[in-house]
Amino acid sequence: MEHIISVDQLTKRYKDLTAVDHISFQVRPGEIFGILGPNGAGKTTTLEMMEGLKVITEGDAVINGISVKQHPRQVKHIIGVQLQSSSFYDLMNLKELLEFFGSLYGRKVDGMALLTKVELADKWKSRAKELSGGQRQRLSIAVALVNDPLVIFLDEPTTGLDPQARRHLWALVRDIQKAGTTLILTTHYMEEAEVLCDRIAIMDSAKIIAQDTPTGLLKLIEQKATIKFQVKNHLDIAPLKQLAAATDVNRMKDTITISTSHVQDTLKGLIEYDLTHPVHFTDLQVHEVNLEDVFLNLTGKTLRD
Amino acid sequence: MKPFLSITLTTLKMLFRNNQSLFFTWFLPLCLMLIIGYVTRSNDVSIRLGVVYDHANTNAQTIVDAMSAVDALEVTADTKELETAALQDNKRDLVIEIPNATPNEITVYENPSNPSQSAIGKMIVQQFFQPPATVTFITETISSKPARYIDFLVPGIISMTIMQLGIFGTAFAIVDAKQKGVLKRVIATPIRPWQYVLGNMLARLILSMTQAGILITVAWLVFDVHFNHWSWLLSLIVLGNIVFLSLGLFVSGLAKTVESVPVLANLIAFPMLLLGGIFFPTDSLPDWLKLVVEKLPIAVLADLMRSTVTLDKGLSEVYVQLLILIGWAVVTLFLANSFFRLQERD
Repeated sequence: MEHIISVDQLTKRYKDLTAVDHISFQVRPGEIFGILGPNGAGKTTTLEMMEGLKVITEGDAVINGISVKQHPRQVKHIIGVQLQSSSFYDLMNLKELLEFFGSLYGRKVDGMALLTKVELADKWKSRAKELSGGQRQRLSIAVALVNDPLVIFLDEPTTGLDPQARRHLWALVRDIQKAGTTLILTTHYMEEAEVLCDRIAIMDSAKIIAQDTPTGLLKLIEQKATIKFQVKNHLDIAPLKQLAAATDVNRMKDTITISTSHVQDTLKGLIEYDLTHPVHFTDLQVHEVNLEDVFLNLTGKTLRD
Repeated sequence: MKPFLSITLTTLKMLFRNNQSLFFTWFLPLCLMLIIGYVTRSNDVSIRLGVVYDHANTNAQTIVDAMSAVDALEVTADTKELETAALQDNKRDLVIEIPNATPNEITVYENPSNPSQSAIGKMIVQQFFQPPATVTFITETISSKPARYIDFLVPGIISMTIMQLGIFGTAFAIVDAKQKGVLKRVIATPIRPWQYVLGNMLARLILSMTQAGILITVAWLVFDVHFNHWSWLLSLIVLGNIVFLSLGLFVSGLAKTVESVPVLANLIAFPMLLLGGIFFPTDSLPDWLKLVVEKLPIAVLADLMRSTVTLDKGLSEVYVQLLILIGWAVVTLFLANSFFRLQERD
């Protein structure tokens, strides 16, 4: 099978709002597929329609040959779900919790084995509310694994986690991929999408505006890098736009940002310009282009509010 | 394990681990029953009877001695002035005067502020003066087993706990799970909504029965309250639970947050708690209010428990009330079905 997931013209309309607007994408078996976008773009609604938690207004998602629209319960058997809110019953310990969720799938589950998989075995007696944010996310991934799913959905798994906990979770996600499971995750962290995902769909205002591999997405735009520096005095930025290979120049207070399609040419031009018209720049930095820039370029806004 | 059973067992496990709910469901009703039972016990059992008679009258003396031997009567004898004064001070429930000249013409002074005590007292006293030829009817049961307050109270408390557990217990647990998103995670599994709801309700029914069992046992051991007709009792507990669990689901459907649960639940439960004849009979209420109040599910349930369980009445005598309760079950099931959704509609 070429695609394990095939989403076709999926749409969610509320009375006066279209939350997801005719989106289509495919996911190959064993892939980590990311949906990247700002809050309110429609990522969670997309996932919840695919999980059978929200009614599909139009279009369909087919997972492993089963239509979600027609057989939501059958689809639930083959997918694992991690929701954005990761709270659980407070009066059960972790092992009981996993075994309870297993029983809802009609399965007998070895709670300890699953906890070992997510490195929570020593916490088996704890209650979910006693865990840290990162531990709780790992628990909810363990819950998503109770039915040996073919596909796992992770909704913003690292939101609110510190960098160390985030990397820990990335490692866990890769382990799950290595075991042959397909993963779909949403995120609004561009570095997460870049590092973790095999392919990414960029979503904004209910629509998918681009989808490709991370490197493919970076090639979408002309820009290759960003040059940033500080100036103390007033500076006319119009002449900077004339610099070789410069695609855009912005000023935010004392920070000037030049987008460029060729770093060396623009830098050389900037220094030559400085000789004749002293800019007095400080703190000069050069950044490789990233998904943030791609997003900014495609939508005209930044990924984080 | 079957998902349905798993939900029942897990819910039960959590119910028994929730200390706060254990306090409210087990400890509080039990305390309430014991405290009210003890406080009112002395007043129930004895009817304070004052007797005015000539001590030289041996006939009268025999009768007074016989009355003193009755547990339910607390007999004092004095002059007419002192005894009627004591009645006015609410220290007697009933005063009788046995005249020397006409021993068959007994004057009875009733205490209007204790009408039931007076009435019961009068019936007991009549026993001692009736000619042997007269057939005795109700007085038989009353003299052998006086209507004690505790017999009234215990079925009331059991009905109350069924109501509280059904409405508050259900609504708090379900709205909390909904608000935290736990319910959504449960719905993300292939379980069917009815499996979740029925599994949950079965657990609460089991809890409710265990609790009724404890109350009944304690009432029997401490206050000598006798329940008859166990199958009747069991069906009433089930029927009562259907009504109040449905109301709990109805409240769960209306409440968007845990904070709004007590407000909505009290709107339903509080009037029933106060007026539903749990702690005192509805007899003293104005007629128009009585008409409404007597049909409240809690009043009907408590009355059915009293009349069929404690006082040993037959089905034919209570079928109207039984029909009312079944009617309530139908109405509340309909409400639950119309307002409660596991998943918000979108």
